[in-house]
Amino acid sequence: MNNVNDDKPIKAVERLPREIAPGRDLWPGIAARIGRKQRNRHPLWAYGLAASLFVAVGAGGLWFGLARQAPEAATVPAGQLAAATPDPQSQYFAQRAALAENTVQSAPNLAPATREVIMKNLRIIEGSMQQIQEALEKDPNNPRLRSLLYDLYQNEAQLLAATQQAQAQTTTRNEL
Amino acid sequence: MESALAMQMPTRMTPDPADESAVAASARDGDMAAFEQLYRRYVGRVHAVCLRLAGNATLAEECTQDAFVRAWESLGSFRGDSSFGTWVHRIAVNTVLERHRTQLRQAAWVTHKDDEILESVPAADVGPEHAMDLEASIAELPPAARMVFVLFDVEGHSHEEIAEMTGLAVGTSKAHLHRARRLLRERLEA
Repeated sequence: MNNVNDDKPIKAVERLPREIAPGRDLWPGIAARIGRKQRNRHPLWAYGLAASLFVAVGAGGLWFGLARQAPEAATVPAGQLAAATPDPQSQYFAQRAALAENTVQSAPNLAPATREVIMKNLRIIEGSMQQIQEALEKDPNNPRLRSLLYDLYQNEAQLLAATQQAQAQTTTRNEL
Repeated sequence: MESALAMQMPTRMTPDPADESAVAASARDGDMAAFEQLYRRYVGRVHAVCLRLAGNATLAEECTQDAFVRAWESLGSFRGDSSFGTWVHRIAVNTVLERHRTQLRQAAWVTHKDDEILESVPAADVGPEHAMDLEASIAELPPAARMVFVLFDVEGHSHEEIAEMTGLAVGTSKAHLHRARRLLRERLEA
């Protein structure tokens, strides 16, 4: 039987919290997914990126070669997300991340705020890569994880290529 | 001297975190760090509505992730007419409702079958005034009743808006709300 009270709001609803934090940090998963999508977006500063992508891919190949030839020679700076382990793959990952960050840090003509934005994006990408890499160690044949990792490598290459391009343009302007 | 990169992407300079429109503009230009700021600011609110609508922690986390990914993909259409929080909240509601589309179609008529299931669940030991008890009771409502209750009583939508969002008729939405309140009262007073 219906009761007239059923049409009245329940008082306790007013005391319900407006926010409830999830049980875990969802950002790494979101970052990995949007990183995959990001390659399809074209922010203003990315125009002209295609030409410099060739340079970045070449540099990536060079880093890989260096890491394989002299894995013990490279130094991983403190503060890197390199949980460097004796595993060659992890070592390569840490060295590549260090080289990528050094590329940005050693570009002398970048404004500090610009450098900060690039470094933040780079660390987000690298953090996501590391998590996916760890997941792949447990599930090495997962095609989705492999695809996500591939996309993140592409994103990193695009970011570094844009940095190199900006650095080159600034140098040319200064020379003029 | 300002770098060429900074000249090419002025909106990608680190925005003032207090200036939400600037943070959203940076995110729209592809700055993931800016988008993470927006995520940190609104994840609690988005997760709360997902959790209450879904009635399930795992599904709520999936929907929260989906909502932010969809927000990122749709940032180009965000014009700042409302706050980013309001915008992403609406995306979150739609995300959960899409997951429950089948259940909502089946809920075009209100039945009492689920009421019997709910009534068989033992009541919690805490007092009826306790918010956690209410949260648990909401989660145990039949799906359509739960969604209408959350959208109307918790989120403040009208029956017309709920009808538009869910595909239910206005009258059906009212019937589900009436039923949800009755079930909650019975449970809280048990």
